[in-house]
Amino acid sequence: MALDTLYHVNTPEGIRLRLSPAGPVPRMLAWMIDIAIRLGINIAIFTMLAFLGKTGTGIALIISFLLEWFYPVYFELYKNGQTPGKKSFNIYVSMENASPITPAASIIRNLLRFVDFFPLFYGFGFVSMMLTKRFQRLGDLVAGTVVLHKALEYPPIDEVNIKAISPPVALNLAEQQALIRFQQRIPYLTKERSEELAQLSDPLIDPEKPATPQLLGFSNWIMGSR
Amino acid sequence: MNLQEITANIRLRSTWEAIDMGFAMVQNWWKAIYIPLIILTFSIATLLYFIIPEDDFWLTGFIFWWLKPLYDRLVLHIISHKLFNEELSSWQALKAIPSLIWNTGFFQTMTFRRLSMSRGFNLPIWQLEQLRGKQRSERQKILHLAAHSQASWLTIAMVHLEIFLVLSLFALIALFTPENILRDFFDSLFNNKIEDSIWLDYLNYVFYVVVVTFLHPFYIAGNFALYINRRTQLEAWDLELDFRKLAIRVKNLLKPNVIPTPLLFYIFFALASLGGSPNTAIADEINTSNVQNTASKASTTTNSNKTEFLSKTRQPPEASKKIIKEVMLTKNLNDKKTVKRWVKKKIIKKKKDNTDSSFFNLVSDIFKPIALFISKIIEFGLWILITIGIGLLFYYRDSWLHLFQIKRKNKDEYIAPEVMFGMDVRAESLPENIIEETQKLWEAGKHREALSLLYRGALIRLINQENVKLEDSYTEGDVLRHAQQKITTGKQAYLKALTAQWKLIAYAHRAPAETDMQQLFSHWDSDFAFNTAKETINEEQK
Repeated sequence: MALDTLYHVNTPEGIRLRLSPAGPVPRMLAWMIDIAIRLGINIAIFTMLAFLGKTGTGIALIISFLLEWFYPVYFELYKNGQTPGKKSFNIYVSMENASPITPAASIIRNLLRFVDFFPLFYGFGFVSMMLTKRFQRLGDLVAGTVVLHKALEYPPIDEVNIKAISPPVALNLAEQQALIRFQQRIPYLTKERSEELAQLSDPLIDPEKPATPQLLGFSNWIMGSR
Repeated sequence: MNLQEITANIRLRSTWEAIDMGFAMVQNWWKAIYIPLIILTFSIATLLYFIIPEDDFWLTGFIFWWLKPLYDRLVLHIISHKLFNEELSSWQALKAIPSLIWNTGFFQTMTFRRLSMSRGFNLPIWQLEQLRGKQRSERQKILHLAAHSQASWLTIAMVHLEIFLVLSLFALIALFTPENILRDFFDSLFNNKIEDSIWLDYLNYVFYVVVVTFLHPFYIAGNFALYINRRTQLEAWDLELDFRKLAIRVKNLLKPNVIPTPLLFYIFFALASLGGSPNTAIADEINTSNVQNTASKASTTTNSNKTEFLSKTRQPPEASKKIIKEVMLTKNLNDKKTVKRWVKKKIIKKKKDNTDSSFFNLVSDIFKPIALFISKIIEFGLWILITIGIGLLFYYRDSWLHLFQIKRKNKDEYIAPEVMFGMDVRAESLPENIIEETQKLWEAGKHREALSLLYRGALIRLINQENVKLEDSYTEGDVLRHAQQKITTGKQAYLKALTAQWKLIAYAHRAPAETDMQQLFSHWDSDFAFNTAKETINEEQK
């Protein structure tokens, strides 16, 4: 088994979900964005409520308390598991089985930040992430949650003006997917490289002709055009 | 570099995912990485400690930090070998250090390139690709296009992690220190009165060396994975691997070469003619049968085209039946469960002993009747109060009873429309005798007005007499469909005929035939505008 960060979840419908846990670096940077946002809000609130004197400071302290503890909970529950920071890194919180995070789990994982923060600046949290396969901090482990990367979206393919050709041999799933990815990646490859790649699938193609159009024809066939 | 030997899963990742992939590498190969790295860093740290005089102790940490490119090279050397499945002992790794220093642009990195933000990302170009000069800078430019900012952020993140972890270690010690000592320490720290503070520097140095040793592989592996991902992006390594695999499988499939000509013919055919024609379908069949033929022959050499795997040693049916039975008898499938729920308790009344002191008995004997009397009075008083309460509730029932009435929401209530198809469909708008009016209009040549009046009459009947719940958004067809559920078949037929005529004149601007119209006029009362017996009774009741 080749080394990868992925893990798989099988749904009752027999679908195999491929999940990719997010590691400490994007999470840390996302957290920094969130803390900057919270800081900004706090400053605004404290300055505005300062006009109300001691009462104002009291209210501001309460608001800043709520902000500190329930800011992530709110975003995780109502914004698809993404705080603004997480959104900018295209990562999101979900349960380990890829279902949406439950309110209880969200509250647990965010209250336990306190533990992960120990002894200072998430020392334990970082060590825990490094020691677990799915990069989970202690709060994640207790709540049964995990932070995942959103799947990479391939740009849509332009209509290719190459007519579909049925492949001479029945191809298995991985091979079909490889051909489709080949079509998707063509705009990002140099002509020479794509030809070189296409030549590799030697027995599949007619060696007399340029290989790239033939493979594109096959992938068009697999994509359903006739 | 042999791509087929690669031990990691090569696929196109997002840049951040690629960094995580690097972290996973360290998690998996930690033994191979950390042992030589610890030997290297700890020996350098010890050496520095002995060389640098105590007065300039800050230099030790600084030089240790400055030497980081050296550790970079060792870690990358190990990881790259591991990635391409070459075993490397710790001793071999350490032995490679001198050559790593000479051949990897070490001195540039130690001088003017030391503070580069993408030091770790550029390293593979120097060390693995061995590019120099213009070639290198061009290569670097291309690779940087979609990875430089991530590489810089990785450096920033790692610097912060380093600082945080050192502080964390200090904080950990502080957590376990008695409070008064800690308070004294902070007092002296802020008043700049620490005596003998050199131990603090030592501690700092040790922590720093430990943290750098721990974090450094993650930094380099993250960058290396970023580099690999960028090259995968540019050169489609994943496709290369997949195509090579495909080529091997297809070659094996076609190896016996029993009937190669039709196959080649087919390829030619498929390329020449283009899918969809019946000929291709036949060719397809021929082709698949060929493939199956060849495949069955090839299956002795390869199993790659099999989709289902069966165990070679299979039990006879009786034996497997027995096994199934045994399994069915296991504890997990026949477990008894204890369920807890509330059950009414059987109360056994204990009779109290009446063996108290006689004095107490005497007193209670005297007071008992009095107490009973008073309790009865109170009891009656309570009963009277309850009766009065109920009476009051009854008397004032109007003021509270309405609270319990459940009001239906307006939404569910049906309100008959007043206008349909731009026509007034209130009952009041209709003339006394519809047929007479209609006939007059019809004879006057006002066909449209005549039919609209008749259709309007029908709609009003449907709404008011037949209780069909029409909405103003309905089309004629909708009206017909909804009416069907409520009215008799005779009436349906009439309505259908009327609707057809109405649609004809309303939308097609064609006047209906005279006979059809007369039919409608004469059957209005007999077929449509009458109440069935039951309905009549209902009407009268209203």
